[in-house]
Amino acid sequence: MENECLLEVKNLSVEYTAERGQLKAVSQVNFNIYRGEFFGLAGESGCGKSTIAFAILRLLKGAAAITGGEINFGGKNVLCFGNEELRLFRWAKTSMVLQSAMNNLNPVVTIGSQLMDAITAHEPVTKKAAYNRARELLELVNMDASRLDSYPHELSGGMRQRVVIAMAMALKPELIVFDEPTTALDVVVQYNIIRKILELKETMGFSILFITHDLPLMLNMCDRIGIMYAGKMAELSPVETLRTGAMHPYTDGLLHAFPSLQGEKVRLSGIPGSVPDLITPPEGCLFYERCAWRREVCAKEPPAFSVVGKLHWCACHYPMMERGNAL
Amino acid sequence: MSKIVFADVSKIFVLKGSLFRKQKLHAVSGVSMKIEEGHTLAVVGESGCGKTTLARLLMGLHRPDGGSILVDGENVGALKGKEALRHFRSNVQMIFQDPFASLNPAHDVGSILTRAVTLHHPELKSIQVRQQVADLLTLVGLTPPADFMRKHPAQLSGGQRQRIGIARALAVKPSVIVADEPTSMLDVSIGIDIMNLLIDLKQKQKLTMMYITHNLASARYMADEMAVFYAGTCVEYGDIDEVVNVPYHPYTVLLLNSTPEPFRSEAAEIEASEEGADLISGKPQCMFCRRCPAAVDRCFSDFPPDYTYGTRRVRCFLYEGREEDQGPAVEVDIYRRKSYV
Amino acid sequence: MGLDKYILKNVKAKIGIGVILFFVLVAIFAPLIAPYDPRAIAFIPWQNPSFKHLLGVNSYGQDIFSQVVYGTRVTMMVGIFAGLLTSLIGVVVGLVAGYKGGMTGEVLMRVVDVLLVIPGLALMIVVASYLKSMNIANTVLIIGALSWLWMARSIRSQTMTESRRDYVDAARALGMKDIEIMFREILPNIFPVVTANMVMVITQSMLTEASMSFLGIGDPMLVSWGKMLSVAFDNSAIIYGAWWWLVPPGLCIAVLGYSFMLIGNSFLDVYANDRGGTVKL
Repeated sequence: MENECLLEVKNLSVEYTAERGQLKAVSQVNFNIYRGEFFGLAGESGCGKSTIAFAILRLLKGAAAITGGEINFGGKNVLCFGNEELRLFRWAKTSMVLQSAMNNLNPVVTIGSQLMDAITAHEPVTKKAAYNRARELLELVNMDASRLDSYPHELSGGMRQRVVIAMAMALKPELIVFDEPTTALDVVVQYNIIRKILELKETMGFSILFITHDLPLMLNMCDRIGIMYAGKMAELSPVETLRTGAMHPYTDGLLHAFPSLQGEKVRLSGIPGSVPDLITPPEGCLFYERCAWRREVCAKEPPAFSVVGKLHWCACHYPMMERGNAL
Repeated sequence: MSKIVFADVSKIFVLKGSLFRKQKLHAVSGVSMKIEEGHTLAVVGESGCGKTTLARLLMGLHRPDGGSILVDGENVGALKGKEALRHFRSNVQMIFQDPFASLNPAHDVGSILTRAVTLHHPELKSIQVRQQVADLLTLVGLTPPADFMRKHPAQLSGGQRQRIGIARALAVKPSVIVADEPTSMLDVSIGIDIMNLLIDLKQKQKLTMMYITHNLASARYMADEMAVFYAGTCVEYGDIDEVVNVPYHPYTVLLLNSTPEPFRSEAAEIEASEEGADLISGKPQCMFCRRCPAAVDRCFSDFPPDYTYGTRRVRCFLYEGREEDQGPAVEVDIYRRKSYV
Repeated sequence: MGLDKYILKNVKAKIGIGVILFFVLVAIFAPLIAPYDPRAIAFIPWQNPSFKHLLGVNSYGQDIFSQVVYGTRVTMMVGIFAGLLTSLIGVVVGLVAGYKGGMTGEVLMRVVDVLLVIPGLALMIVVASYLKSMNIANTVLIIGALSWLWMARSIRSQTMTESRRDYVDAARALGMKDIEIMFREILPNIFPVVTANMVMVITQSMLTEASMSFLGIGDPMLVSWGKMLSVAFDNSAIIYGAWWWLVPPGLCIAVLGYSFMLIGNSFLDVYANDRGGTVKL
């Protein structure tokens, strides 16, 4: 990759304190995001993907604690930032769009005011300048400037999410983290918003960390995808490789669990079993119980996250390339 | 005679407005369709299209304001007498969308299922009831049954709870199942298991199913026929593979183009307005006209009728005057971005 | 179901229950604890607390400590029984109004609204004055029958929320009768709100009894904490500085009332936590 590395997540581990013990939500996760890249983090509930997103912006609170690793942005470790550095980092360098954000807009303040607040909170600009900037932002997301005076309840779900995206772009960040931004939206609205995000990425040049459980959606828009399972990264590869040459049994299972609109109608099989207990995780590979290709060593030793191809990593003792494509 | 018949069904909800200007929400309007015995009909549409209201109408949880719904020839809205109602309730059952809200957290699995059995078969002895409950748990894949009897819903995973919901529905030995987005709140790999379970059960127990979903791909996986809903009306109906491969209604085309498809060779760039439909004014016009790139003047002044071609039905003025099936009147690229044309 | 959460791990509830148990024991073993007959006019009036009279003697010559001890019985009985009666009416009305909704619900709530306008205590005084005699049973009935209004509202609101949940629809779809749905499906789920309300109603009943006695309406023969306060005021205890006559009964009412509140509030906290934060009572 000729592009510079914007975000480097190195050996990140996050734990939640639960009644029964420490829940290992994220264990030693490694990945990079390059400038201008559309990076996807996929996985099912409880895999840790949202936790990573919050960790990057240091928004974890309460029972969650980062127990190890580094998050290097532009070479500097975000986890070591002091308050001032963090303030300069948040929203100006990296911002976030959450799934629930569209429902958490302040209901008694107009959209315009909220946009302006986002701007003036970080930059010392005049009200007029902030207003103009807010207008530009709305136009970027295809919303009429007249909407600046609307209240959140007057807008549809899709429009509210657009406002949230506009807010995230207010300070021209280098990286925007999207956490399931379209899960609660209808499919047509989702399509439009995803397209808009892609357009904005091209024109404004930011990188994207997109988190979702909807793998088909990601396969259509991401450059590279990381597949998370039970707090660990199971596989990381460019999208094309993942489509045809997925190596991790979980990825393979996941890819084949989505019914499709085209092609032959075959009976799909899910992945039997369920995610292991992350408070007392088993030894060895966390996917062992559910894997159709498991061997003895898989129960004893956790697999290392190692290179299996060009820009392709996989955490498996017997990645599918060694098994051939037999199912 | 079809197993289930919807004849011009409509449902209006009165919104709380001021005393003299209460607004009416036309949740379902003029729906007519049939479901044959042993078939699965997928009811597909986005939020607010009326599919959930339709499900509840079929279940008798709402009364239709117009038209009628017949199950085995009996009018659901006009059931009179305890016996008729009881028979209906043991004939048509529902699986709910939210596995967390559809089970009473105060009861354990055993008592939830036991009550479902004893409600309709009070004459059974407790040994027989216990056996039936155990059989139900085995039927939905929760084995060994003894492990689950004393558990409370809070101790089970989403997939397990959904299986209990299915077991409960089957406890009364119905012949019709209404599944309201049963997998939308579950992880994908679990959802597919539930879908497979429903397919197997449907075959084993000879059920007729109405499967509601917003996901076209899972509709294709589950169903024989599909009804596409928009703003309370059925805009297209037909054999599912035919509709998916050769859609007739502009809205169906839009849905198909917007659905993320992992292995699609070329992703068409489309653009479509997101304008919501007007469910309140009751103005006579095609509900989709404001968003439709193929709309003509007629679409804005009249409510289009159903045009039937064999098993296919379309509610669109583009088919006005067509006596026979001449294929779709919409091109699949009507939404393609203007800049590409 | 939740025994763990609501009681075993709930410190506030445990304290509350502990205090109430203490008073219950006092009430049960009153004859063993109280040194003298509370009504016996046998001592020199206006005595300060001493070893022979732990809380002194009142203006009539009765031992105050014995009065406090026996008074526990009356106050608790009225409080608890009136509270239970109120709860019964309040829960039934609330459940029906909340679950049935529609006309039934509206009518019931309008009735409640109208009754709420009338000051409760005034109404009780009026009703009491029509009765030939006042005894503990009448007191319980009057308080119980007229205090259920707030509770009905609260239960109705919770029932309405709960009725929207899918499991209620599932029960209807199975063909369950309304009565069974209300009492077997919904009630167990709103039980913490019922208890929370019930303890508040019990406290309220104790205080109402105290007020009624204070105003001279209750049974003149009964010794209750409220009666004690009433008599004390009537006999100018304040002027005499006889704090040992006024403080103990007042303190007991406050402490017992507070411990009921502890239980109720802590139950509400656990209930609200389960439901994501807040519960509108």
